[in-house]
Amino acid sequence: MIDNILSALIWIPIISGLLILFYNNKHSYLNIINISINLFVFILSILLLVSFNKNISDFQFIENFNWIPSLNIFYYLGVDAISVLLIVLNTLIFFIVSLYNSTLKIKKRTHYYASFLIANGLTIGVFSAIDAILFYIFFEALLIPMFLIIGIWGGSNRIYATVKFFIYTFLGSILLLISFIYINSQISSFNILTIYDANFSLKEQEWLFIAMAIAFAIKIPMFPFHTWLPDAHVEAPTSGSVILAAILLKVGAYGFIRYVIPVVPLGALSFDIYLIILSIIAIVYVGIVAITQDDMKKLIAYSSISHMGFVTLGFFIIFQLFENTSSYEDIVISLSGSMYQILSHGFISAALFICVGSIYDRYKTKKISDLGGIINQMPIYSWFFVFFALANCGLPGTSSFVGELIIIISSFKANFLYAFFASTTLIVSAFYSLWLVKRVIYGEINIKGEYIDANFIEKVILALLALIVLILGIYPDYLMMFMNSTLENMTNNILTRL
Amino acid sequence: MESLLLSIPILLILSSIITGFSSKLLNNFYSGIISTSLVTLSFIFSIIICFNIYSSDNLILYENFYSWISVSNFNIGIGYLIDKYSAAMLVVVLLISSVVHLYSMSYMEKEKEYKRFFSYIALFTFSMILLVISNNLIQLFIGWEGVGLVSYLLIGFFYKKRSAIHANLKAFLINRIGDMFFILGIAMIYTAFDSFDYRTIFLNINELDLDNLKTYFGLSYIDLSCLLLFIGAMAKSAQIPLHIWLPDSMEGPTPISALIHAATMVTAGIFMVGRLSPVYEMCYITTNIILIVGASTALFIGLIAIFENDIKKVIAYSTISQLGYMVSALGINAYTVSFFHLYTHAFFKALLFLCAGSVIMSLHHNQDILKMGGLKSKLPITYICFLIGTLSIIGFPLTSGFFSKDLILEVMLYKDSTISFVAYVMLILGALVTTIYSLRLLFIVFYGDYRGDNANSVKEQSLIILIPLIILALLSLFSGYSIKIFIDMPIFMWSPSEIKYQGLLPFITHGIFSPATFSLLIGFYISIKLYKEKTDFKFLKFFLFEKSVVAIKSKYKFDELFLYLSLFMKKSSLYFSNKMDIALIDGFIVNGIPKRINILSTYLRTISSGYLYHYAFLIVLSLVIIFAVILVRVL
Repeated sequence: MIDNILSALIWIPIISGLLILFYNNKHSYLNIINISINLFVFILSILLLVSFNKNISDFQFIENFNWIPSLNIFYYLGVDAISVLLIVLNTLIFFIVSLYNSTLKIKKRTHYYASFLIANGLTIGVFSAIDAILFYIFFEALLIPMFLIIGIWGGSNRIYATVKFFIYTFLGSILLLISFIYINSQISSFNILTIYDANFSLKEQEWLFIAMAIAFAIKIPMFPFHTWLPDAHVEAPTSGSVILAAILLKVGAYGFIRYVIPVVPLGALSFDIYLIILSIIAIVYVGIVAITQDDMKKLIAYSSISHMGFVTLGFFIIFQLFENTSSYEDIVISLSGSMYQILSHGFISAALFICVGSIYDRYKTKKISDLGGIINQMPIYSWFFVFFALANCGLPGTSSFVGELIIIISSFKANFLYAFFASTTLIVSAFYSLWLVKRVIYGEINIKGEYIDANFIEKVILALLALIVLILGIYPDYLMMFMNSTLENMTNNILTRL
Repeated sequence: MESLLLSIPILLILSSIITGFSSKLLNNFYSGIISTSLVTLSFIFSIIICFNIYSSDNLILYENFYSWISVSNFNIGIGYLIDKYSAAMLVVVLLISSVVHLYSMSYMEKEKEYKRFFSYIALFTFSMILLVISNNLIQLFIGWEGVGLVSYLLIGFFYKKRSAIHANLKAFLINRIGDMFFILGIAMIYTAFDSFDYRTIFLNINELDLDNLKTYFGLSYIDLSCLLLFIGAMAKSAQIPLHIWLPDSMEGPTPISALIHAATMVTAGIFMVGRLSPVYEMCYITTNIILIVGASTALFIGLIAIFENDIKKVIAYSTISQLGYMVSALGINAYTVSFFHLYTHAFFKALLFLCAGSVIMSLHHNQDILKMGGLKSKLPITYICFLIGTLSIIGFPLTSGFFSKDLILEVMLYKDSTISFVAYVMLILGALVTTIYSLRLLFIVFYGDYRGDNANSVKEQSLIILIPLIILALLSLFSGYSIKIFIDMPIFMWSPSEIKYQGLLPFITHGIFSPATFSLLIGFYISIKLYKEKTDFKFLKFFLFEKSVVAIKSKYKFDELFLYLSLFMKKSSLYFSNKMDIALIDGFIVNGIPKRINILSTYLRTISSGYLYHYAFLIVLSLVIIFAVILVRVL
């Protein structure tokens, strides 16, 4: 079992997702079955986390067989610390979403659940593939369930949003596929480990970098490729938004750290200043744009983009960092800051979208100007909202502080101005998060009526997420140590090839 | 000792959790008792620790509770560094906090969300303790933001009130402006010393290669990092121009004001600079900036208090002005002198606020001093306590304020520079202003005739309210006599710069015959004439004077400035959102390109009409063009 744990993690949800389609929509055990499958996958991923040896920097739990020999494509799976953490994030979020879904009234319930289960398995596939084409297949296939979730269960303008989402990400994917094919034509391998050792010329690296960076920049998303995300979020159902923010954006970030920077470090070196500038624009500009959004989901979507700006900033300052301090540890720290930000944002954005979704379910509006004084009607629920809004503005003691702190300090070592602009997030994020709280939660009641406070499952979900956010904020050392040797190895790999 | 120290934050966070999450298990009364006794217990622990520290010569406790992050050279621990400086601060914070806890048990009695209040103030104290005992900059920052957070929650405690939720957002955002610079300062210090740890920083400060460090904007590296840290302190300690959140913070319940103004939060900035004094010793320009900021805050904000009519706001402005004194002392590198004023100020400011709370309670939540008056006979104990607080704040000889304020004025003259002399003059004028607004408050509230309604229902509050007042009144009277401790106090291992002190009696006599006493007398004369006897002075009608009163009453328009800034942010947000994201990126590029492809394809569709003669024509036309090109090339 433990040898094939990755395959199990990928295929159990996918197959059960296909099987669940045969159930009747009104089947009484449907929720329980769905939750228990997700729970099982989550437990399996915890097993992976526990049995993972964090002191070994190589890929572990490797499964490898020749899948399509004629095309050189292998079914090659394996995980390092980064992948393990992202897989656990993924399974946990999907488990939470399955709990949340059980409280909702949904049309075509089985189809809905199937889409989520399949997305769950595919994302695990993305995080554990070592073969580039296998990665690409999972990466692309992941679009299908997301496309369906937004397109079928979304809001009124869902067709526009879902087409925009699909075409945008598909455009990126094509560039990615071309890059992989080119790499294969040069070194006749899709194996990421072989690719890491390949020596491309500067010219090749620059072109590969541009192609792949666009692909992942769309996915993260970075400015100016970001406009699909607010639309997709606004139209997506709550659970879809949660997956989109907590998981899908992380696929883009994962792509950068797995397929871009280590594969074409010289290319990244020549363009790093542009990506740094785009990251800073994401942090400052997108943060400012978030302030006056009237749709709560849009506001949180913009804040997600702004927070992901930190991730890319942490990735791309490493070259200047090395130039300034020539210290290998500084790079490792900067990368761990970004990774921490990825994980932290996964939990916080998930929680915020669940909060907003619950407001929407009850009040039938997401518009900030319509709402007000919710705390008088739903106190417990409102305190959770305040907590996550505060976490969203990077308050110490919550997980988001750790990543932002590390990245601001690292970026100072690279350049004073980077740190200056990055640190404006302290003001901007507080502005949009707490102004949102002021208008929605506090004050006088705007929509009168009796509203039921958070139900048991919502309380469990939000408390669980709050607990995770707090634990990651109060004791970050465990995760930092967990990632350390993988990131050290990665840094070594990048530096030796510069 | 270690376990005692560890138990202080644990007791506080426990208190916060118990009162915050015991929804139906505990009734209000018992949760108040539990919370108060836990805080008092931790206060007793702090006394024991302080006693131990002061009874030995150079004992410094240093340890990490656990390691927060430790990857390669990025080491941050959560732990403590207790020397004489932080031990004294620990006692002050916990003393004020326990008194405020006790007071709140009665003050908040009728409040529906009594337990939430106790949960907050325990968390407030916890954050402050985390800041005080910290042994590194990151833990300091965690506590720093922690007090900011809880002040946000407390100022917005009455979340239905529009003004309250406006004030708390304002407080948080202004503090965040400071924090932004503070974190940059931390980044600079870390880059220079490769450590966040105080001990490492302090021990390596002399080995620092100053010539190799970069300079920015004409400031040396250390100067800039200290300046950035100080901007953080300006927001926390409410210095011009980041002071505007503090008067608004009066929206919170009164006990909170006592806690914010006396011990937790606003003193954090002063404490931080003192804590990092070895680094600040190396500044040249930044100390002058600190001095100017402090002195102008002390004078100009004090002036606002003279024209304020809300009892709590008068005291709030007086806090800002007193903080200006502390900051000025920091600017002259007299860290322990500043700390001495922090210490005495904590008692008399808490006293004034709690007295104000008692008055407000007796008058059924009336805060307008114009509707008070003549309360001397109705509230005798409160009156005496308030009198003691007032005498202390104006530095009446032999009260605690006298010692600390005189010491600050004295050290101003040590440095032989123009700036410090200007600051000295401003602080003397500030002392005059302090006398005027404090006595004005005293006279208007407690003397004359009662101007409010329900005169008969005004009576003294319960013992739970009065005991804290009496404790604080005694402390305000006598805490000044511990001056010697502060003069000798080392910060970490360094003794601060020399302070001339020849014993208590010479100090007192010297203090009485100083310009400060002179300004005190003038102040007494003016305020008795103006507010007790209500004399009309002719020169008050003078044009220039009236103009400056208008300027002061407008609070120098700082509020409008920040309002404008936030409006600017919102406007640019709307502009970016509509013009950039929606119009340019989405409209022109993302949706524009498909639109243009559509237009192109409709155009192309008209070409492929299906008529044979159209196609024949196109073929002929193309052939002509091709041959023409070939012909041109050949020729």
